[in-house]
Amino acid sequence: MDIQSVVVPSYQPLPFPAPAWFLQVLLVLGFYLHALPMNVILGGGFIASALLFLGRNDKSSYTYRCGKALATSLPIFISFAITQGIVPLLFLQLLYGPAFYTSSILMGIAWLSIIGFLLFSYYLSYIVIYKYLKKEYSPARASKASLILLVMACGFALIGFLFSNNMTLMLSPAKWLSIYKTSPFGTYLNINEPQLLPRYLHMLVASIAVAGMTLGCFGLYIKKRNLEFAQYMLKMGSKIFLAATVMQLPIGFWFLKSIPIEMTQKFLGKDLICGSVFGASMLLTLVAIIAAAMVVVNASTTSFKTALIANALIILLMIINRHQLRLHYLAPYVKPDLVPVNTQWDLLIVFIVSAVALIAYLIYLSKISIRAYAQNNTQIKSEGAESE
Amino acid sequence: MNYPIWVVPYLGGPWVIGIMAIIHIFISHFAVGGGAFLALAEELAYKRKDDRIYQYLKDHSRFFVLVTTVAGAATGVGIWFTISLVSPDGTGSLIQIFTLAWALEYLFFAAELATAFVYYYTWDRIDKAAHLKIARLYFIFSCFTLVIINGIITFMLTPGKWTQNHNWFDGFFNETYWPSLLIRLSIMFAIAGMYALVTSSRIKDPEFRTYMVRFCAKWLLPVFILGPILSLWYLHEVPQATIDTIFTGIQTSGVGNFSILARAVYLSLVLSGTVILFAFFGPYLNPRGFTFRIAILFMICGLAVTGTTEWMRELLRKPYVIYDYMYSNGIRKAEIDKISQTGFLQQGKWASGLAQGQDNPTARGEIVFKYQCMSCHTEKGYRAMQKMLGERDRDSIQSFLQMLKEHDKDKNPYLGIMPPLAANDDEIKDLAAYLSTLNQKNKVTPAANICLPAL
Ligand code: HEC
Repeated sequence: MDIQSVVVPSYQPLPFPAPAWFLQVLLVLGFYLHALPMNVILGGGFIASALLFLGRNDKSSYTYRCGKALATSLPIFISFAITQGIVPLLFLQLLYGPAFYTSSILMGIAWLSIIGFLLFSYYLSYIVIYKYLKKEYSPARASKASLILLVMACGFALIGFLFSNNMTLMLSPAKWLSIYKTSPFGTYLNINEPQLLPRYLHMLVASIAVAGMTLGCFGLYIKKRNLEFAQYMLKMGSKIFLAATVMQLPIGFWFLKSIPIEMTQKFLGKDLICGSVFGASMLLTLVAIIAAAMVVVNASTTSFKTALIANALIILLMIINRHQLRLHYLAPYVKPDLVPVNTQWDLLIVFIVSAVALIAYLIYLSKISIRAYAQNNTQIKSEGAESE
Repeated sequence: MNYPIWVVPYLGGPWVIGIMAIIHIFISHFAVGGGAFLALAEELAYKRKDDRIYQYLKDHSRFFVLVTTVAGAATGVGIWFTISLVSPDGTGSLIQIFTLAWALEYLFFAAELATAFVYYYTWDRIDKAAHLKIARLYFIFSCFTLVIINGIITFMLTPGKWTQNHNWFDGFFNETYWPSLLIRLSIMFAIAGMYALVTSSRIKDPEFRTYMVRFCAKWLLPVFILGPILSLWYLHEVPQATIDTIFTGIQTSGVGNFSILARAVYLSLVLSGTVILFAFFGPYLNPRGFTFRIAILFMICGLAVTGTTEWMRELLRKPYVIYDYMYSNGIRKAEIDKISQTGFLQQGKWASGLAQGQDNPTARGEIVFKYQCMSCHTEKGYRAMQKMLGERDRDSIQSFLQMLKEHDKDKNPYLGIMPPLAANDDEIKDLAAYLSTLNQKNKVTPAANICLPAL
């Protein structure tokens, strides 16, 4: 291919404020902290909708109550997902701006529409709570709540799809020029990309698994107050987790096949680091599956905690793998390591000190809220309170 | 020239930013001002042991806390999305100059959000003194988010010593940092007060309504008293060249091309005057007669002032994104000379990528147009090239462009509003060829129109 047909913008003629490796770490960690709540809302919306629908005829059924607990907790997760999203967005722009800005422009209209969908779905998440779930119960209301949650979840799923589009388009500089020559209006979507569909499905199904784990966590939380309900939640959550994780096996395999063969080989062991991260995540998946299966049988909290921790680690490892895939794709075109560095020590120290202070502050705040709810919740007042 | 240009027909990219920014500014000013309002009103309720105020606060905290903070965050990300589509080089620079400041902003924001949630979900669950403490913390954190973003926004107009030494500190705490921070804070209090006026005007109990309306009206005081002084201070720190542009505009008002800025200044002054009179004669002197409908009108006026003032601030910065460093079209000031010598279509990754193998002069001219003019003009819509060119034919367009290339203020009176054209002589010819097609489409018959591209 004519080398001139690959046009990659240059970096700004300015230094990075810290070494590239450090910024990469912040990018990966930031994305991890964003992915957790993001997965909860993406999968949680679908699961809550299904549970409310299944339990719509009986408000005292565990199914209905599980759905309600999940649905009422969503707004908090949404706002944390948005806030946490700032971090990876910032470092992605800094480190991979030349690729990321370009792909965003090529799909500009769809990219901007994300904000609309986000506000729409976020708004629906409140409508469900205040117009339906907190109002007096009726089967019709429950069905409507389930429907609105489904619409909301589809909104989030669409946002995820658009993100997958951009995250894959930014990896293919060779396509850009011809796309732009076809339309400069930002109307492109990366649908022809072989890895798009499996990659997206991989994320979507993972979010269902995470939502299952979230339900299990609610179970852990109310265990002292209502053992039977807690065990129901633990089992239900683990079942959802298991179902989703089993589905991941073919999807993950498909994803692995959809990327160029030299990259697949890297994950299968040709590159030591990629291969070990990938291998470790596979082992942990096995652990998580076995542990979750045990929870389904005996609702053991120890097994659940094992599955939970394994799952949290799997997500982190998968995110590292995802980052490595990006590095491999972009290595010939975008080289953040070559950008000069002028470390802003003063700001860096302020930042680190503030970060530690923030963590301390968050602990302080959660103590206050836990105490506030422990006092009031000797019996279960409302599901909304539990999900706190 | 480094990135592909996102073409937004008729509306133009800047308006996409404008629309998103206006929505965001209204919501985020609510959020910050709202934090302050809730805290101080709770202070009042606590001191007076007044359950009615408590009830009022509880009723409104859902909107204030949850909707404004999250909608503020979402539209804030929206601005980020839009500016990176419309001016990726400018956005990239701001991100890179202030990466860690942005990261710090995120920390404050996370703290604000967490506090907001605890504030909202602990009503009646913790004792009143403890809740008041949370409210105060909420106030502090919501102001803190402003402390950072204000440095970055003011940097764009007054980068101060940063242009020489590239030290973030000098860029951040620049000349307009303090006046701008104080102006913003007082505007936020005013917006919070206005929103609270709207909600207070719906209180049923007449005596309590009168009381609350008066309390809320006081929130507009800082802006009235300090506003003019702070604005003068702010304008004093703004670059002289920008002030000159305003005055040229005022002198030639209504006729010249410079008049938009002047018009923005007028509009902003007239609207603020209206709001001041309105606030004094309305809620403050006559709280009893203050109805919901008046309150809404009042708020619309207030939002209009904020909108025009922000618009004016944006105009002040033109033709730069970062004053004295980078122009609106993403070209850095330092690059212009080199580009004029070697030619624009040789420089910049995407501009040259698109130009390679392109021999048609009109097509080459169109590329120059997209990169150098479209950050402010559209072909046919907003600030349309077709209209701007007026009666000019190809030769006079060419001499206009030659003038636009000059760096000397006497030779190029447009320097204050348009960046100097960065192109060599051939490219100027190509650009003129392209622009004249825009012009003639207006007048010539369709048949002649078809022949034009072959020109
Ligand atoms: C930074 C923004 C900006 C850029 C970039 C810009 N312009 Fe303008 N231009 C303006 C403004 C503002 C006006 C005044 C508009 C008005 O009067 O409403 C203007 C006016 C004009 C006029 C009318 C002048 C007159 O007095 O009749 C022409 C012609 C014009 N621009 C051509 C161009 C061309 C060609 C380019 C690209 C080489 C360009 N502009 C780039 C902002 C810009």
